[in-house]
Amino acid sequence: MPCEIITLQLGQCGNQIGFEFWKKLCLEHGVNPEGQLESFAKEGVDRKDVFFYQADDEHYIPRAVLLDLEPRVINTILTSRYSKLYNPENVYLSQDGGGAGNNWAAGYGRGTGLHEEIFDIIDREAEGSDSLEGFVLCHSIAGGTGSGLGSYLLEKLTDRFPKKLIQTYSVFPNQDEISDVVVQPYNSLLTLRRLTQSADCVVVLDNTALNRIAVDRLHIENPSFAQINSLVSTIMSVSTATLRYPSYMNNDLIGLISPLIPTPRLHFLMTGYTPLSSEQEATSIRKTTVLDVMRRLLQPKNMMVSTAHDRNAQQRYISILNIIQGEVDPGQVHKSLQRIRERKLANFITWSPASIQVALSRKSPYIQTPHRVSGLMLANHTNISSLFKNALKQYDKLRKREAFLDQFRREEIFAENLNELDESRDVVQDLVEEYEAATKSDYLQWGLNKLTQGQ
Amino acid sequence: MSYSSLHKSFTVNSTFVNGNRRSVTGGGLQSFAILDNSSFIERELVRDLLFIFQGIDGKFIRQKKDKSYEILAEASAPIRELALKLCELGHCYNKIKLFKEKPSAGTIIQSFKHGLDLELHEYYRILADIKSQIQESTFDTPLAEESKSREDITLIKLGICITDVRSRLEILACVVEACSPEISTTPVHQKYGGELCSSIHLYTEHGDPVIKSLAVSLLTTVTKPLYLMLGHWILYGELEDPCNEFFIASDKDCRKEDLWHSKYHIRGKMLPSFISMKQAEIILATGKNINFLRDICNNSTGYEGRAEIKKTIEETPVECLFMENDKLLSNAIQKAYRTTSDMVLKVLIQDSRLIDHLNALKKYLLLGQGDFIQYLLELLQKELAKPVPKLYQHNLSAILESAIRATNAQFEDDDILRRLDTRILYGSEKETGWDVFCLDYKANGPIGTVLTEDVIVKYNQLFNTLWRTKRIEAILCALWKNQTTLFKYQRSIMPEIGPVLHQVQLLIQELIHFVHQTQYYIMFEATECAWDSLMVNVNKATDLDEVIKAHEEFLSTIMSRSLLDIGKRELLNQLRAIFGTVHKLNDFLTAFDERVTAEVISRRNLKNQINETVAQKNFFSEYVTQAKAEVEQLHTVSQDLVYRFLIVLNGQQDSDSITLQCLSFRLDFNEYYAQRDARLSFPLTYLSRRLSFTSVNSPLYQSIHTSMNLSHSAVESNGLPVSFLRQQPIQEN
Repeated sequence: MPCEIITLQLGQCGNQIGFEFWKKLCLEHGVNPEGQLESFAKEGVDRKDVFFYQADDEHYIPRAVLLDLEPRVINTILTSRYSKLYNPENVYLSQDGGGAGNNWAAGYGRGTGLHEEIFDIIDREAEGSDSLEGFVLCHSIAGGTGSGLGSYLLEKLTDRFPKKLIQTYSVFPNQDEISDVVVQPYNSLLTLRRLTQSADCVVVLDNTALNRIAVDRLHIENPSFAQINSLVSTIMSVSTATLRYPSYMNNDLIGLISPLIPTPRLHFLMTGYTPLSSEQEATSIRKTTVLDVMRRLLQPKNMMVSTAHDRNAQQRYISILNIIQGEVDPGQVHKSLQRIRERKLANFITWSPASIQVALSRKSPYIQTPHRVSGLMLANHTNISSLFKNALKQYDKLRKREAFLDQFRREEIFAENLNELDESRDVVQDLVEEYEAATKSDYLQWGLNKLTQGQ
Repeated sequence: MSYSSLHKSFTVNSTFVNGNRRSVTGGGLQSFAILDNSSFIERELVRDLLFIFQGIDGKFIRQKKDKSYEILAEASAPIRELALKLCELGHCYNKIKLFKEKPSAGTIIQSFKHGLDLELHEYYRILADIKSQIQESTFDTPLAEESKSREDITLIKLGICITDVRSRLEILACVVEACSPEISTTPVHQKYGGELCSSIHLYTEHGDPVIKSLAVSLLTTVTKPLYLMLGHWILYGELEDPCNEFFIASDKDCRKEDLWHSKYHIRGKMLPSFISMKQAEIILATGKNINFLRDICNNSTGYEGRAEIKKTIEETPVECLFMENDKLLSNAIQKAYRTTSDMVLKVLIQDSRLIDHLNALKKYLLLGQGDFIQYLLELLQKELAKPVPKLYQHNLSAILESAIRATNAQFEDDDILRRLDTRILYGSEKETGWDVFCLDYKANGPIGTVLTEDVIVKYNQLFNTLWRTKRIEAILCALWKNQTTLFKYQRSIMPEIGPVLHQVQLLIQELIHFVHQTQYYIMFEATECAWDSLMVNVNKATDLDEVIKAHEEFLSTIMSRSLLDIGKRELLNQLRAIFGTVHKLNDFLTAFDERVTAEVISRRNLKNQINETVAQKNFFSEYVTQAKAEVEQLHTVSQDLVYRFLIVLNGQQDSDSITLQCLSFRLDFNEYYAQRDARLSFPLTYLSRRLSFTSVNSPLYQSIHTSMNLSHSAVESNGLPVSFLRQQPIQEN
């Protein structure tokens, strides 16, 4: 069946969230850790072939490629219950195991050497699908492998598969804690450039917000990676639900993201999820309605992106897609939309028609949840630029002091000069400006002027 | 006419008669006038009357051609009057006799005649009684004087003797006349069957208990065959009705598929007045149920409790049919109806899995199975671009087959997949496959009663409309994807096309928004909402007709909300016009892409020849300027079309207007259009309605209009372009 999607997991973070994602998919589709279909699972309800393929003995194998430059996380996966799930040929571990040392330039530089081996795997996977729709890249933008090697891959994928969509799930670093990776601002900025220029859609997973949600909403004092990643895997699985449970619309990646992204650069999406609750709370959940879900999705506290709340800047939604799962009366959807408009709960752009799209998706019949209705929001909001502004600010602070640049200069890309950093800063600055322009009603004219001047 | 008063007047006048016995003579009566003894005449008249009572002319009394009676004897006026009065009975008798002798077919009419016979027997007996009394008086006593001393039968006496039987016969004559008016006046129509029963039934509500009981007993006789027919129908679903007397009729030529809908119907005229329409419908439904089970579901085992019902029907007196106080029969009918209806529903819903089929229609013909539809669309692209004469059913079916095999449709039940097929609607040679292609569903067997051919045709139409919308979505997705590629391209090689792309992107976005919201609307507000109520109604349905009705409502709701009913032609045309701009945009971008690609290649070749490159660049930049203008115009036109569409949408005033407003609400959720067009920010007024018909003078708009075959010939010539009415967007600081 068409519309296959290949998942690329890069680096520690990418492999961790990827691992959680596949665990979740297996549960939802009734596939056991060895890839066998559970006896209770029936065919026809769901579409497994978007993310899995079947081996000769009919067991399911994820269309996943696992890449890392250091062995720790991948080894954990390969010694887990799910070790037999993956195609061992799709797991690539750098032979020297040295890692990228949290250095973007090192990760990027390693790409050239590993190019052939990595693309052997990707090409084989791509050929194995009937009509590949695109790639999903899981990575973090702050480290070395996910950001550096990820950036390299993004560029090369665009060249090699110009007609395939590239979506990324990019983890942004936690700004509330001081990172032990001192060059994080450099890494982030350099990766942001590739995310802007080479990706078609970036789902921003902001560790700051995820941690805050874990602490404030789920009452976990020191959230572990596993706990945070379970949030992430929920987001990833629900945002792909419409691809896996076919219905009237949004059945492929392009159908999902094209209405969300008006112009190619404005492709950074925020997510929100409800109900968020810890296990203890789950028992006392009240009756949830579609309106409840849609209203809560518009509350900043449920957003998985921490954005400075700036009322003066007139930040706006460019587009919203709510994926709602559970027992829903279709008649309620319109009423909820009406209520939201009446109360002006969502502030939309004024330069184009825009609305809250609502997709009703089936839930996995194999997983019991205490909630009647749950919802995920994918939103394109101009306020995402505050993340980029923050990245610029961090970068500028470091750059002003010329700090920690030595380890970058050691790599080939920075051997002659630091132009790459300056160019990346320009790209991100442009992105921020474009998002700001999108808050105003003359965005169309702004674009025409800017692009004409740019000639 | 009161007998007591007559009697009185007779006694008063009799002396007068005796005194002037010759004063009244009929013409040409002289020859018979030997008998001038008034009592003798009276006796003769009595004797004659007995003949008259049996429809035979007497010596002195006979019936004229015009059916009136004349008395040939010389008799006093009161006697004559009295005699003539009594002649009425003969008249009644004649009527009844005539009716009886008239040949007529029909079991009910036969039993009516039988009932009349029974009455007449009684009548003859009474006549015989009277006759014997008369004979006693004439033959047993030779002398008139003697006889006088005896109790003589006078006219008055005779009148008293026949009082009872006379009133009965009068009623019977009335009934007969009511049933067969031609006897008396113009030949209209002889009543028969159920109609006849109704006529008699009228008299069962008569205030006179004698008449009432007469009518009841007659009706009991008459309805016997009706009762048998009814029993047969209820028990076996068979119509034993050779003379078309029953109130349920069948069409022998009816096709098997139409059994439920058109084979049986109620003959309104034959419906006896004592059976209400509602009851008749229940009776009709019961037999239909039995026939449906036997002929369509091959289940001829009968139904549970039939023996009991049969027993009830056999034991219940016929009067139950029209005597309301007894519920035995109607309870039995109700029971038969319930049992058979439940059986039919069971066969349909459980055995034939009606709900599964409806679900399949929703999934495949109403595009619910998105992965399958999308892949089918992809596979059919090439085939459907062909003109209608070049379309071949077998090609389409083969493609359908591969779409099924590659998608989740493969897990569908075999029975459902077997029924799924493609169909080419009727289309002109100019049209392409897109205009005429649709999926089809072969609904034979029991489910065909709900999913009749007409119903499937409606599904076909719905499919075609939704399919076209889906195609537009696919085109827009492809354009969007191209844009992302071009964008990456443009960044490095050709920055000057940036402004064109920017405008194109925003236009694509607007159109994507439009098409997606339209589809969301059709999916939620039309299909899913209607589906919910369909499921509720089917689950609470108590018979097949209710299921059929629920499904018809479901379909018509979706049709109307999807702008497919006749009243929404204008909206549908406007919608298609908006889709038309998508095709225009697609054409434009295809050309633009080619041009840009060519330019890239030529630049690569001319890298080193600086002079030519400059010339080339200038030429190209001219093209880009032109292209930019073209996109701008496309943008304006498409927005104008959307404005118009929204205005007409807001102005809809039929029962579904609230639902249609959901569509306009979705299309303009952030009030982008409303803020730009004064007409949309007010509720509909006469002015805005009028303005919605004004024309746009731009040539491109007109070309799209003509290509869409819109007939706006009556547009006002002084109409301003819509864009004139738009407010300038508010500048923000």
